Amino acid sequence: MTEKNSNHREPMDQLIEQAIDSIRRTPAPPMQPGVQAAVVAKMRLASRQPRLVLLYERIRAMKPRNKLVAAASFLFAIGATVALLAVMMARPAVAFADVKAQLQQAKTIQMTMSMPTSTATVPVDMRMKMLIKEPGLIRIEMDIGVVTIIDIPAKKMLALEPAKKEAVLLDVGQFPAGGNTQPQNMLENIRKCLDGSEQALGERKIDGKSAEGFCVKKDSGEMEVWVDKASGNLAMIKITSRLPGTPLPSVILRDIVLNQELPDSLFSLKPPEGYSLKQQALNMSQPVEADLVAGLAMMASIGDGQFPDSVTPGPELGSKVEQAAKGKNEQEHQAMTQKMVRMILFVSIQAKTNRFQYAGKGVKLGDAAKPIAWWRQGDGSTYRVLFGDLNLKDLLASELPATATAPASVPCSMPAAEPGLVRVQIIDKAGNNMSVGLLRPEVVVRIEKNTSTRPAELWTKGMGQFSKATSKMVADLIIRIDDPREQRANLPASGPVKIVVYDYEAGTLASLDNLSAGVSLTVKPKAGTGETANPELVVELRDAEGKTRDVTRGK
Amino acid sequence: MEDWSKVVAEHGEAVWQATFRLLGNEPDASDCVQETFVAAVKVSRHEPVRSWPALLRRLGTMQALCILRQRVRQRKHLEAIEVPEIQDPAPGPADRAQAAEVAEALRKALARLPEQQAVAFSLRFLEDLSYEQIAEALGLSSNAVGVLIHRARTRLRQLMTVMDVLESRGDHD
Repeated sequence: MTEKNSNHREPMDQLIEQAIDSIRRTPAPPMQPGVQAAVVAKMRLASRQPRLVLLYERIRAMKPRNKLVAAASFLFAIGATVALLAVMMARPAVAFADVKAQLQQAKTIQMTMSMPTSTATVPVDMRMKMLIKEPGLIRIEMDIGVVTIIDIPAKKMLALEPAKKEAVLLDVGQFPAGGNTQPQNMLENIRKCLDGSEQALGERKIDGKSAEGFCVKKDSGEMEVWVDKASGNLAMIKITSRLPGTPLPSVILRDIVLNQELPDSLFSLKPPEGYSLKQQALNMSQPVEADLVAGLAMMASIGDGQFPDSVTPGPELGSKVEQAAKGKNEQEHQAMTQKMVRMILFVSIQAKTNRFQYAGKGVKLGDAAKPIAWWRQGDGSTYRVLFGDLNLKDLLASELPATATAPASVPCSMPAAEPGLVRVQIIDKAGNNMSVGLLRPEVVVRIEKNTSTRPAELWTKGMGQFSKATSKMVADLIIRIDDPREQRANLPASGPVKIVVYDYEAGTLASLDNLSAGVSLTVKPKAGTGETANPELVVELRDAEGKTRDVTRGK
Repeated sequence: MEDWSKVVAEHGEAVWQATFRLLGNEPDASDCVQETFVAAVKVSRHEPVRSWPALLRRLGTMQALCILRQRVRQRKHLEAIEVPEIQDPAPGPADRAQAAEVAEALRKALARLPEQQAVAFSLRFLEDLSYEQIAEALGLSSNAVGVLIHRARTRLRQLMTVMDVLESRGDHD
């Protein structure tokens, strides 16, 4: 210890003791009866809800139609998030000129999206590859194996589940007009985002290459754009929203490739050979306020009389509908899905264009005193307000309930991706694709032989929560993942496995094939960078003989 | 089926007091208590709860620290945190202000610790749990708890020294 530190040690210990004493003596008012009642109500609700299942488990378990809706929900969520940033117009920066030109001339774009999100309590994340080809062709490949193709001119969407060889073709009729949340506007929205930038972020490594960063910041959020210094190509875009009710705190776009030849077959609405095909219609025409009312009424009825915590797009709503629809016939199931989709459409469009706000969390259906949603009308002097009894009134802006400020409203269970957080993806021999995200280094991934003859258990534990499912797969391996924040996972797999380790911001750290029992990986800060704000991460492989080597980026 | 009203009636006030002390304001404490009890329900659905107070202390502390970390990430919000005055018949306003200041400094420093260290430290010094009780709550050995607390204290010294230097220079957090 240095002399300077030793001089500080005694007064600092005293200060810590003083601080402990001060906190212990902080006077706390008694808990209000309202809080106590809310706690009991939430506990009752939680005790009646179905057991927590991981997001990808839920989506994997969905029927193809609902997988498609989940994917579409994500699409609208992303569209909304990107659109929020499109309004950030500032002075064009010279350094962006090349990037802007690239995007303005692009006829195709492919990219990978990472979207840290959560189930009710457990942080997980989704990753998908998105291909866009003008005019209006979109293909989304979710890492859980579901593929969604959207053909805007044909007004059709196709969902494919390769594992089951099932396909569902949705005839959408028409996509809603107005607002920037339409999927067809996504490329345009990204272009618009790049119109404004101010602050230089300096240099950092993205995918091992030097990149120069720029940032646009507004009250509604911020966008970071990182440009490869050598090639001038886009290396990464990170969009962080701070608006209330935004479904995804951050979206990270990576592996951005412009103008690559994308064959039309990738966007074909004809299912591959051997797939069963189910067709149905889904009304995605311009939504009206009656759609919001009908959707909320349904969500309250399946939520024990309480409105949902959130109406923002995402798989959570879909999962609730999926659970509630169990045991119902196909027609009823379709009607429920339709109501949910139209509610999401209304919210997505009004959130962008008319400052839609939702405050239904904890409100009971029938409570005429509580406003649960409101949005701007006409010139903005009046708002349409929906109350808990599902009646609508027009109120002046000054009569609106106070809205929560956005930054504080992002709950801990939905952390945005931070620098240095890691995601581990495992693809096994049987094609199972599992991932655990938002891990904090040092992360240890161990591959062990599964000696049990009983069905393997897949479980994850994080932030005091626990989720478990019994796998039916033949598992000869168990992949154990641990991080220092006590996030753990136990994933059964059929070996050998491929493991890909991503840093949310620095890109793919390692991609290793044919790994079998006895091998372990450790993701840790590079020596000397651990205490910095952006620690550089390395991946170390320990083989079955106990020999270790650095495998970061193909070393 | 558990009687949730009874669980809240028996343990709610203790969780409230503990989380309020760590967070220093009512809105955050209210959110924290609700999240804590909901988390406890979920834990109870997977495994029988041997001790509600122990489970709630652990979950409440983890949730409160989670909120503290969230505050650090959102510095604007951090500036708006209400710091309650310390009730003491003897100290004058200057002493009370200083006590509130050091308490807030510790909260900020705790938010920057690795989670397990922060939880172990808080359970030991703010909740008066023994090493054995903390070990049981966190599923660790007593020795491991000792190491965690030692590391936490060392790191807190460093963090508070840095914060002290910044304060004296007039820099913001």
